[in-house]
Amino acid sequence: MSGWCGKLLRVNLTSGTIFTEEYDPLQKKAYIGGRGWAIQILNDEMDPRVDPLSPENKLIFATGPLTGIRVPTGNRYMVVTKSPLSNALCRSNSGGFFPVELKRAGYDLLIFEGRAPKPVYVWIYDDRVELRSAEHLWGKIVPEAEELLLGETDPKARVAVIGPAGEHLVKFAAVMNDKHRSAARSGVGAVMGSKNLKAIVVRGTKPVEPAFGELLQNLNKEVMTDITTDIKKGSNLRNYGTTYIPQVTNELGILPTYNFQTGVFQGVERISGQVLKERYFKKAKPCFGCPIACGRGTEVEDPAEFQGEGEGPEYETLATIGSTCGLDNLAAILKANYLCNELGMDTISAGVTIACAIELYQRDYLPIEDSGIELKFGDSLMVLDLIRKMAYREGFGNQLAEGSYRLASYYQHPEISMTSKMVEMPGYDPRGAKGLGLVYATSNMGASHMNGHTGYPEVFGAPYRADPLTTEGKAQLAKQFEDMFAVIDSCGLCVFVAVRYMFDRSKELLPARIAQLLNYATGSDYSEETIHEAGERIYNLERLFLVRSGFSRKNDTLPERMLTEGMPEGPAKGQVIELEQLLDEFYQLRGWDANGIPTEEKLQLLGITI
Amino acid sequence: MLITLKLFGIYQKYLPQGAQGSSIVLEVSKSIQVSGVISMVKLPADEQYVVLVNGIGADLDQRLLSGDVVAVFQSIAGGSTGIPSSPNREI
Repeated sequence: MSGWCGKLLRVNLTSGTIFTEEYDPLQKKAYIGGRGWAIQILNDEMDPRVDPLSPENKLIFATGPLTGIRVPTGNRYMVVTKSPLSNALCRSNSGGFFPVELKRAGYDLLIFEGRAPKPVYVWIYDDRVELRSAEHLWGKIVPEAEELLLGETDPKARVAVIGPAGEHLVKFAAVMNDKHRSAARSGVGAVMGSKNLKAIVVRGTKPVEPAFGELLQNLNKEVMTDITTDIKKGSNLRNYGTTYIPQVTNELGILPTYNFQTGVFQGVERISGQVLKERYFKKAKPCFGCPIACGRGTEVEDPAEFQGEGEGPEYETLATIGSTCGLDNLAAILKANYLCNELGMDTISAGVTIACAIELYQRDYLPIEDSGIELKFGDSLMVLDLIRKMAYREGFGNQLAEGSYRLASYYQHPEISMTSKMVEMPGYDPRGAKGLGLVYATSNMGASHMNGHTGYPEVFGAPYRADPLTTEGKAQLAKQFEDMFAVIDSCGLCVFVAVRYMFDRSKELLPARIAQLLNYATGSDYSEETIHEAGERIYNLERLFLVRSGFSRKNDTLPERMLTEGMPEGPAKGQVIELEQLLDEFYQLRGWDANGIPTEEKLQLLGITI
Repeated sequence: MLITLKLFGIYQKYLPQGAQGSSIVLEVSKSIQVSGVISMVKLPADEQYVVLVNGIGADLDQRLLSGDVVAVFQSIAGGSTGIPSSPNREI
């Protein structure tokens, strides 16, 4: 087995039938693998207008050709399906060990179709695959379910599982793997729940051997030398994970605060990575084959109401459950993070939805009769209570479980929902990072930094500094990062090494290393040019999936607040996003018409046929 | 004149005594450059700095005014510095 397995597993949950399908991966190289192959399958096999929670929706787990290969961060997978939160595409990314195990079992992709009559899980041991009853696991939180599953299969197996949030079809439920890792965004867990599929348990024993082992090893050494040199000098990711970022975004005035009413948070020092390190950090938790080890193993011992242990937080959680909800108590944010992981729920959407409810309440749009309690920013215990209720759809939690857009629309104030395509915005107020604003607005999966994180240059100065407040050059930047992320995701790599692999100092894309890695791993013949094209091809095919179900320019938008209300304070004071102008430029660069639809000519150039 | 210096992430440990959290008020000579402040606190010289003055991106040679807030952190990517070395290109 080289980088690609050449085999996928298709499980029809309605009938309980399991098929393997074999193919020549070289015939599919134009879409690389992973995310690229998943969108091909959705486009070929599924009507994009299906109800996302119906048996007609397909749920795909996709590894890339570099997943399981010994290259830095070769450990990612994507969960790809139609989103119940956005009705657009869902493609949630996660790393850890589960993806590698799946690859070692011999599969590039798992495809789930239909709906099981009763809760089941699938147990994969290399070529042996069986569906088993999960009735005794239904209702269990993630760590308990995982322990039970390992007990009744193989302690060396790896697990991807949904929690109560997925079972209750919370529109932003996550798929959790390796207990603490999460393919979190836009409701992949709800789709899994709708299929009565509790878990996937995998044991894989076949090593993933590269086609040209020695060449790969040499290149790998070179990349590793670069990365370890960085780490020896001192690395923020290594030392703090992503938890040093609140101070950075706060300094730029883009740390979402009080439901994006401002970008400056007075409590920022209390939720910083330094406090985490001193009080709650236990151990770095690396994914398979990663020298960076950004994962944070943490524990809160007291106070009792925040007690717990687990992994996290990431920056996104500090920003969306922390500052966005006005919480400056780090122990409480950690507890909220543990709860979301145990219940199987996206922290970004959970936090931003609670913040939306608080603002609705404070503006007298949401009556106390509905919420049952007074809602206010900065109330830790209230946030924890709402998270629990949301996951089980208890009382007011039932409304929160629909996400902020449906919540705010119910109270006739959709403008209070900080979403694009009904997906909650992550931890960067785009008024002060305009490239990100364009990325959120045009994303095929709703507001997500993982769609193409132009914050690398706009916020972090990597690989060069881009002025976050200008619109100039941002359409090009957005396209560049979107296409680059499509490549990284499809390969099965982590975006934290993206810049290391993909850019040179002259700001030009440098896909040579990725092309080399892929060629050595798979025995294919990618070049800088073809790899770059593949990214663009994948991105366009994803766009077509949306277009075929009626999405167009009208959906490529942002909350009214981002477009008309100037940032009230800080370095981005007075800024709004000049979206229409950015859209015109972006569509033109992409070869899409003024309505945001890819032109025939563009599709032909990319070799896309529907 | 007085300025405020903020150091984030791995740089925070270079803050002089008397710092509160990530920031400290420093007495500096008039029209000192950002680089002057960086040498005052002995930040390692070989790092990739990202500098903000009052929240706006700035270069190392920018001259400071009384009351300015200077923030310095390390650029990220693949471990840290963000500039990939390439066998084919001079960097």
